[in-house]
Amino acid sequence: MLNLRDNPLLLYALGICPALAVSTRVDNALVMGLLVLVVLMGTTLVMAALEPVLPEALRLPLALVAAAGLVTAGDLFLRTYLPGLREGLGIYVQLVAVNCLLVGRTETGRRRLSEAAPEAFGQGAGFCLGLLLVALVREVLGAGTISLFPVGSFSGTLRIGGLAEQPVRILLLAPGAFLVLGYLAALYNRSRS
Amino acid sequence: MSYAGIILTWVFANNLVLNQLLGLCPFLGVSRSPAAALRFALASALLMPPFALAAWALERLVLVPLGVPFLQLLVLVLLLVLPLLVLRLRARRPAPAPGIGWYLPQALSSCAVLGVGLLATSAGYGAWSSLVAGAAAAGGYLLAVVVWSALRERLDRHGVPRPLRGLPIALVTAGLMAMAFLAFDELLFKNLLG
Repeated sequence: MLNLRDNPLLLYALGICPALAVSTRVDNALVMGLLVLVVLMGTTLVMAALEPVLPEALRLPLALVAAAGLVTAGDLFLRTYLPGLREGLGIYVQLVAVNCLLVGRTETGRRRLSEAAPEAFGQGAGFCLGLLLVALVREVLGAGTISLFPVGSFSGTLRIGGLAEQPVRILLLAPGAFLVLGYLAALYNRSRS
Repeated sequence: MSYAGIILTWVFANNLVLNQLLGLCPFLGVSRSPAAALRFALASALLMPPFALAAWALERLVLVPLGVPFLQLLVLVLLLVLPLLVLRLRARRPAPAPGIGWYLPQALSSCAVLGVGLLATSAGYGAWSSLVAGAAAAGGYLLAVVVWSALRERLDRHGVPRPLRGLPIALVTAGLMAMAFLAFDELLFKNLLG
């Protein structure tokens, strides 16, 4: 199901728009990746259920509305349970609703439930892993920390000695997002061939 | 903020592509030609000013008075989906030759257009400022796209190492452009132009 050879983020930059901007922290990337996975799966299930009765012209419009509904629900969930983290994600949470990954899936992906659900899960999970990797590189090199979630006596942030004092700050800014994803995609291409 | 300040901020400091990281998918799609990318960008840019104004109107005149601001996303997506639906239902077959109109359905479902609406409302502008911000965002989008496709055309003629060909070099190019755009600062424009 999880296809590591065709990662949607590293190979085609699908779903890049809402994702790249939040890849400055590992915890942000994890929440965003899970949100994309949930929305992608939910929309796929809705579309597969409606497949027999739905005219072709209505597919994409309906998928977008379904995704917007799911994202709104996810947004309210995050605002309630993780308000601090939700604040940092800004408008990019809402933008998951028009994710290219989702539009591409609706247009060209498989449609029967038995095929569509595993495919959507594989794409969503692959995307989540790719995003985590980008965020890990950006946060470790750009801030010298790894932000996770506080559990018990663990404060939630790992500091990496040496890097935390003199981080490569540009990696946390917009250019860093492009550069890190670009070089990771190059490494990925190299390892595939 | 003055209109000049809004324009400079949205074109340069908060450039949609290079600072907000929106509307990237069409340019990173390796198979697309620069001409196709430009037409797509033009179709998106045309939608941005009216959409920014519409987003403002919905937020201030409908959602906030009714006390349901959390429905913003759903309403904005519906606003984008209705014309998309009309275009789909009226689609002629065989499809007409690719002009700007051919890219409208894709532009309607792109994150750049929705992003402009969301950014403009969260900036807390009035009606005119929203319209100006939408137009400036569109200008900045086109600027980034034109420069980017020119750079990529040049790159194609030079020997790019095999693993970097296609998407990776496009991203690295965008990264270097974004680095140049870091020179523009929102606070600087605010202080200069009020």
